[in-house]
Amino acid sequence: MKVKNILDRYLVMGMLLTAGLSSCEKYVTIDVAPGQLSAEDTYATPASATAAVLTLYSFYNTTQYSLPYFTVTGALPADELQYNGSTADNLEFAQGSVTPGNVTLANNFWYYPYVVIREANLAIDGISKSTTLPDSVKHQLTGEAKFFRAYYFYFLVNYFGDVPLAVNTLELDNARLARSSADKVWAQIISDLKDAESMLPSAYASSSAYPRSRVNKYAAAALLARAYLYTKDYTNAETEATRVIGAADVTYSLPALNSTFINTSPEVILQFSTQFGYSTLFGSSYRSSSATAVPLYTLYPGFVNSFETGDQRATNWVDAVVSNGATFYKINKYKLATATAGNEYNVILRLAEQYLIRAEARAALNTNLAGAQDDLNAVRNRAGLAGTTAATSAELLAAIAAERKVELFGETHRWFDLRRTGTLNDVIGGVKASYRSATKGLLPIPTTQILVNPILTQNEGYN
Amino acid sequence: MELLVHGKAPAHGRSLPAKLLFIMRLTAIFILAASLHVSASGYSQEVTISSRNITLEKVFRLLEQQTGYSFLWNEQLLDKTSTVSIDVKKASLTQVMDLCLQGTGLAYRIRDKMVLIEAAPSIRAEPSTMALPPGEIHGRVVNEKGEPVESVNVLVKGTGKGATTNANGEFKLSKVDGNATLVFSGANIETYETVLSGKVQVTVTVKTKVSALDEVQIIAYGSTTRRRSTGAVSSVTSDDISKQQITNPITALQGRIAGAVITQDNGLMGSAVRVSIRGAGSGVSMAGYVPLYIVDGVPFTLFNGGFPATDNLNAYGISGANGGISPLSMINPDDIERIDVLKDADATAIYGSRGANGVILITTKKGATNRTIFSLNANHGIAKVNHFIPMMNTPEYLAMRTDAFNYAGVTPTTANALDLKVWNQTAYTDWQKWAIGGTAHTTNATASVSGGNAQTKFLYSSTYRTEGTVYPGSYNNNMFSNRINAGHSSRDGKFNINLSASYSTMKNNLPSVDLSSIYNLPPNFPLYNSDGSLNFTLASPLSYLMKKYDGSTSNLIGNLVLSYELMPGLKVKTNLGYSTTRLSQTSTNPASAQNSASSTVSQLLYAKNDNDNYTIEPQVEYNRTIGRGRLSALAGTTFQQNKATGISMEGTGFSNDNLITSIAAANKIVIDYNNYSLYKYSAVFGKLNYTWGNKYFIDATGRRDGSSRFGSGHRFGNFGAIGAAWIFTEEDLFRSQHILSFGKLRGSYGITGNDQILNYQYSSLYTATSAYNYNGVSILYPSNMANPGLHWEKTTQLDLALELGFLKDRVLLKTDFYRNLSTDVLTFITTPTQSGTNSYMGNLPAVIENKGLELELNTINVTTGKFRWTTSLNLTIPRNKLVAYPNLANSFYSSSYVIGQPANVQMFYQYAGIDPKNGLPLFKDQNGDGQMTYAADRVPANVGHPFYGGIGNSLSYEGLRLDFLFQFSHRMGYRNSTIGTYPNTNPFGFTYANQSKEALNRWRAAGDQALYPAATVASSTSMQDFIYYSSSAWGDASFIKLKTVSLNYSLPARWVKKINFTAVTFYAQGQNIFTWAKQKYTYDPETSVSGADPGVGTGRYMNFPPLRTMVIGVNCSF
Repeated sequence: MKVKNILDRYLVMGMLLTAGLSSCEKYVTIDVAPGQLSAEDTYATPASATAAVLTLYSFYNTTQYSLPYFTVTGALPADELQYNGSTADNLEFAQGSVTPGNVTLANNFWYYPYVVIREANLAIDGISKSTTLPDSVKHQLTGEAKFFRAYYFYFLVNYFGDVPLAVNTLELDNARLARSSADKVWAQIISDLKDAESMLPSAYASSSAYPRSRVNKYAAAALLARAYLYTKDYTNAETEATRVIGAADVTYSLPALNSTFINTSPEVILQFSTQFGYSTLFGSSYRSSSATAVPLYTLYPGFVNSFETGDQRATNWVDAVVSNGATFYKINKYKLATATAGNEYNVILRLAEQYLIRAEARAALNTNLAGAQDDLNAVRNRAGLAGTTAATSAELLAAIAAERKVELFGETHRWFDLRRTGTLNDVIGGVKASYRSATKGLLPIPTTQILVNPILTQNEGYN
Repeated sequence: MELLVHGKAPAHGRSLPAKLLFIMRLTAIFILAASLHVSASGYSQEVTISSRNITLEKVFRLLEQQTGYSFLWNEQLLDKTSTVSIDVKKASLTQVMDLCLQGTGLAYRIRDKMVLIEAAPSIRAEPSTMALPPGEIHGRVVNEKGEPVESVNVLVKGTGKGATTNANGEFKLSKVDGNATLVFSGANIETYETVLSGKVQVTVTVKTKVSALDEVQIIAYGSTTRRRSTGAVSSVTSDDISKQQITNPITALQGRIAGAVITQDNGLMGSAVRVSIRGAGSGVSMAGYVPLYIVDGVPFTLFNGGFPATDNLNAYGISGANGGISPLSMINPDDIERIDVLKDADATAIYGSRGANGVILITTKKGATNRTIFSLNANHGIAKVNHFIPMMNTPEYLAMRTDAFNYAGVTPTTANALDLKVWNQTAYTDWQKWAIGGTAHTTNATASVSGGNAQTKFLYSSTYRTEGTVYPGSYNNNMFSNRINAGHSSRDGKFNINLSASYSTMKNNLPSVDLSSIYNLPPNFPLYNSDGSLNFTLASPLSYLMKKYDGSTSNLIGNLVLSYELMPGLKVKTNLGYSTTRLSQTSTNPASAQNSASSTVSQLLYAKNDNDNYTIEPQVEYNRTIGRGRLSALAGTTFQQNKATGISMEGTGFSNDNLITSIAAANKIVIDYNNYSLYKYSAVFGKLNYTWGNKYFIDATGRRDGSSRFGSGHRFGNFGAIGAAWIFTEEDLFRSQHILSFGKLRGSYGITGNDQILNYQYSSLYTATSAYNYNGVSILYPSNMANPGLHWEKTTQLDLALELGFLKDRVLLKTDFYRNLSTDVLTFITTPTQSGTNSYMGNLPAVIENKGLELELNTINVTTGKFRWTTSLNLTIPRNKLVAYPNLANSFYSSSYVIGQPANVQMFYQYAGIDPKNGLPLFKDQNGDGQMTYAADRVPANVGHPFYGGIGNSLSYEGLRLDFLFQFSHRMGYRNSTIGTYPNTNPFGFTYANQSKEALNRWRAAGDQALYPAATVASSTSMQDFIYYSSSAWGDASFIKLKTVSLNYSLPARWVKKINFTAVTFYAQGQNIFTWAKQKYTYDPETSVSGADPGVGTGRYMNFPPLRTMVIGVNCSF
């Protein structure tokens, strides 16, 4: 009797305790905050999955992330852009001798591209696991995600050479990766772009209110053409560029110079629409809201001598401001400097480059030099210049290089072109006293990253 | 305090109705009397009566005359014929009352200045009405005030027999010889002997020893005294606080508490305060080390999942020049009675999860059972920056820039060298004087009224404070704070209710950017261009003045404590707390304040944030005497919720800059952030305390905690501690000596936890935001890297202490040794950014040891009749070490941590001076491989604080009193914030930035044996990176501050009385008077920059300094 009483008592106490603790457990279990979704829910509906993929476009299109730096700061080491500000990090870029402790380098050049790559990896994984998304949506979104992964690896491999190849969702494993050879990175870029090209439709997914601002099949092909060109796979470069130039279901053509950079331009293959409140990153960097003020980035005075006489790009795409007795040459491709709603977006891929890619591929293959001349002339004629006089493969390659300089300036091509054509040391060595040729045009791996992942090796010329 | 004393009980209790009537009548009289007899002090309480056979009535009349106390009795109760014989000299009132009521069946109560005579309650008398077995003695021990004295040892002299008094001062002895001598002794009483002479009921009045050891200390869920405490507790009292000119009460602890490093981020009003107790948070970047603040029982740590972990009110809002806003700046220092800092596991473990970083208990002032007191404290003062950084003048600056161009072989032009080619070559502005050279005015007024009687007490206080800034222009901070504390207890003392509530509002207007940051503008920088527009070549100081920040905060804290004594020894109690803080902010960036070279869009940041916090803590408390010891037990549960919600918007495109503070006038509105942060916490806890005599104390606490910040399976953690103390001077061995008046050994061991991390980190989430959108679609982005295994951080804490008192406690020394081992340290674990994230919330496998020695010494150096000089010293010798880190070599921290070194180890290239040939810095190639590599060529530097502390003195002569406190810190750190520390990592003259005078010691020409490298406009790894990661600017960064000087003069009591005041004090006080620092190249060696430093105030980055404040004021009460 007594024993039973005691047992009963313990039983009751135990039950009370369990009830108490389970109510505690319930009390401290909370729902996710409003405004948040689990990964599974995110990729359950077309609308939320699309919102997740649009992240790839949006964050990195504002003034803070990678693209503004890739296109502007990253172009500083070359011989086209002069920096007129006093920010120490940018001055290092302008001198062509970035130090490994540079914070812009660590964040905007190294970290943020990987942020986009991680988000693309998560999207590819999330979409593939979704059981509710229709196939058409899966193809569209996966294609876009793969394009972005390729696009950011393209910058990484160009700025740093060998880089860690993080292509899955296991962040902690990716964190420990060593640098993969540039060849492997290029192979990944090409494979992703081929997938994207095959998955994406020709039609732009963006509405007419935001023309050509989502990745389509031709955007993937255009970037793929560039990737083949950089890896010297000229046959494939020609094929991909031809696909874009010859597209029948989307009209791509070269309009007048002054219409090239407006957002309804038929030349645009891909453009990123502006965030409200932000101007195009090119416009805000190269222009100033006051006509008399000196923008932060202007062309080197010597650069304007590169234009042939009669080149209308020298007048349409360049203008000048005089300050303290010195002349500063402004890039005038984009006309709007401020954030007021306008008709300009950030142009990412355009047709003129495809002509120049195909011209270069044909010249290098030395099989269709006439075709190369035609392509080159398509660009020259639009600028009001006569057809090229270059006839041999070597002459054509030199002419194409010169044409790229005056056609694509301010669009982040110059530095990469000099590097891939092996002319960097000759050209920059003459322009910048502090340029260090031992670096072979590669940026240093950020010190902070070598500290946390010692398996990373430093690039040459930085020890 | 109400007390009831009875003599020998009558054989029969009185009938209830008569008694009730009597009580009611008495109460009415009492209330009337209490309101009329507001002041009767000044009468002597010492009584001398020598009379034989006088009636009780006469005795009472005599006592009335001698003590000033009023006597009230029911005529029917008093037997007019019975008489007593009394012969006492200088006895206390209670002694006389005890004597004369003995055996009369009467009892008395003393309330305020009244003595109420009533029938002894029959219930209490019950045990005594039974005939006691032969040899059994019942007794009671009271002090001079008639209050029962607990834990008195009662010994039967010459035998081993003894007992200890209970909470009512009662004791029982059996089998005692009728003529035995009883010896009463205790920690805080003077030893007393009495001979029984056949008595079986005794009431003994003992004398209290007055010692600092017996001051009440507030501890977790209760109070104790320093003498009896088993935990490591350090305190400051309202007396210490009132000597300082501070606006945040936590800063009153600076230099006064051993084991705590306390800094304010900057000297601007409202700015964040960082407290690190016993090294919490040192070394491990970003781990939360915010201690648990408890204000009158309500948790007030408003940590709302911000990152890095802070309790800043604006964690999700906007920051103005003052950075983070401390919620504690809303608590008026004048309202605070005492602040107790609990440091070891014994003291903190009862708070479980929340106690790992230490606990700071803030107790506000309560009303007193006394007459009504009005008091007023008002002061006015001025404040200035007390240290400016020595910077180069114009010729020195221009020479450096010229050298820099020459060295790099670059020609200065009007494009790349405005300072040399365009700006006036002789202009000079001292930018520090321009920006922060002004004088700030402060005014502070507090008025309070308090009062009460034995059952009800209240205090109301109200403060208004206005502070200016030293910036050019008119900026200020106004605070209005109100507090009420009220308590009531039922007549039988069983039911108690206590309410405290405070409401304060603060309005702060400041520039949105701290102007002290312009110290390194070139001295010839012109504010305007030649065309009259603002010069934006560098940040325009004038534009800073146009960007305004406004913040309004209101804060309500309410706390209700209800308790009821169910039966003797058993009490139920509930603690209900609620606090709510509302913060609304605007920050403007008008188009006119922007550089027209880049985009100019007028912008308004607008934020509203609310933080609501409630806590419910039902508890059961049980006390009983077991043997000679006393057991007290406490059990309870906690439910706590913290909800932070807020919205942060950005409006752009205003048609007119005058409309800029209205979000409705914006062309476009973006919601930057819509914060929702919910934290729930629940726990069950228990506490057992056993006291044996006045010698042995044992304390055990346990707690099971659940936190919503962890995922399923990891939500609960168990925490607990045991502590013990032994007052060895209570042993017979020590009775014969007089040098050591107090000696205690104590120790504790326990485990505490920490959950100061962001909410929802255990699961992977996508966050929706319209702040970023694409093609008009709001995006969803992966906001974190999930860590489902996230669990509690645990710290095992050991504390051993020796406390000694010498020469009747005139010298008190407390020495604590502590060792805390932290495991599963919660932090944002840094990841290589190639993973796409720079960190994730996780438990670091590291074992980090914080150990140290704390010393507190209080001495009364001189105490004569009028002159008194006391000194207090505290010293802390802390050590921090990374004890273990499994597989460190393969972790992300392989190059940041070294096992056996402090966790905040700094790995540096060893600076080897300047190459006289070319002015380039040299570094030691540690492994001799001919090149500098991060992995192999860096060595650990000396880090940390070898010691720190404070020394205060107080001198008084009659009404005059002088107090001053020095705070000192011997520590390693950056010796020059202008050189070699981010963002000053560039060579001298690299860009438009002035340098400190140290740059004069640079290399200029071949052969120079210089201290610093050459000036150059060319970037180079050795000049920038290597120097930044080198020991060149590292070393002894110690400092001493004359923190506080306070001079008070109290008017003599007789003067004050004439004007019907009780006290009038005039004072002059100064705060942050002077700093002697090795590091002259920062404003103040202790400031921090929000988000920059992981640790507390290193002074590494320059920030607005605490001002030298001097005030005069008056404090009076009547």
